[in-house]
Amino acid sequence: MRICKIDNEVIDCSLVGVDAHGFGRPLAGEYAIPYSLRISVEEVATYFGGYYQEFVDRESEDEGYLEELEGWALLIKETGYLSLEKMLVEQTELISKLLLNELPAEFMGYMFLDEIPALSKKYILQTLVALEVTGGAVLCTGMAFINPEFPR
Amino acid sequence: MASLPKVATAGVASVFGIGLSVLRRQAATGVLRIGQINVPNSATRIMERTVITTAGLDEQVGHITQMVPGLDVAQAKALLQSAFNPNKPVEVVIGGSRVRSFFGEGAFRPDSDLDIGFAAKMKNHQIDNILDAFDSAGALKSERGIRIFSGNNPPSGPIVSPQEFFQRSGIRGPFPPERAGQPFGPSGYISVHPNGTITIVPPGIN
Repeated sequence: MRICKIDNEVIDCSLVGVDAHGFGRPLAGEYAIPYSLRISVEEVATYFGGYYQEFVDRESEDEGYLEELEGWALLIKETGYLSLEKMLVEQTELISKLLLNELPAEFMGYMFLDEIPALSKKYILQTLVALEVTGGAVLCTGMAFINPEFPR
Repeated sequence: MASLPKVATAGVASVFGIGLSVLRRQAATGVLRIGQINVPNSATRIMERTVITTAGLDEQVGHITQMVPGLDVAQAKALLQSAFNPNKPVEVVIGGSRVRSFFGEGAFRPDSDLDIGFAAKMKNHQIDNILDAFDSAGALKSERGIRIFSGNNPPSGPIVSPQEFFQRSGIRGPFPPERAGQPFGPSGYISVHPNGTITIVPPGIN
């Protein structure tokens, strides 16, 4: 279950896309429109669980030397390199910071990955300003813009 | 310098006996500023895959700072010292609009970040450490979107290697809006290896 709002109006989420390679780059003020999302943790696990597991598998790999970890890398080690499903339930603050600060382009890109390319979507999410895991859902806010190429 | 690369010239009668560094200095520092776009005033172009053998990191720094517009010695040194960490030395591959301009194919925006990739399977925190070292050493910033390393599997599709990534062409996505849907071409790349070599590959060349 997901709810998408553009400029505080509920819209059809199938109209929303993400250009993962450009995601996070500053958006000129004349284009920027606020958006908000509410996505159930089950849906987040379905769409992003695979990439998150690859990320965790890489981070936990033994490199054959002692790595001095700090910040989020140390915290995910101390919590036992949990799956995304468990992180979304047991480590809500840590996963919120990880998705917001470390994996925003990958997270948003996978959440809106579609057979229809982003270039054909009406609304493009461009930045992720806040993310919180609460009440069985992931809440996101940021800035979007209207795709000048829509409709093609 | 081990070999003299084959170059195409414009306004240079002969390159015989002229070292790469001389030719490249002319290309890399000749930058015209037109509005918000920097256009390299390149008199010479490298037209084929070229490998330079150096005595080590300091010489590599000297070369790449002459090739990549906006890259100074402090940042180049910070990048290579961090990437060539003896525990896990990794080949650094630089591409994107600044490198494309070095090859004489297009302009770059003065506010454009530097695209830095890694020819190895990397952990996010390892990449963060290297790019943090680069960013903190000077004014030029590293691109921090999708991480470019061999074996990464971002939403846009698998990255076989950064060399492969920087030779892609296609249609731009919706961002930035003013260039949505426009075609883009390969940038070519400059690869800096811990063994002391530098490999320079123009756009579209394998």
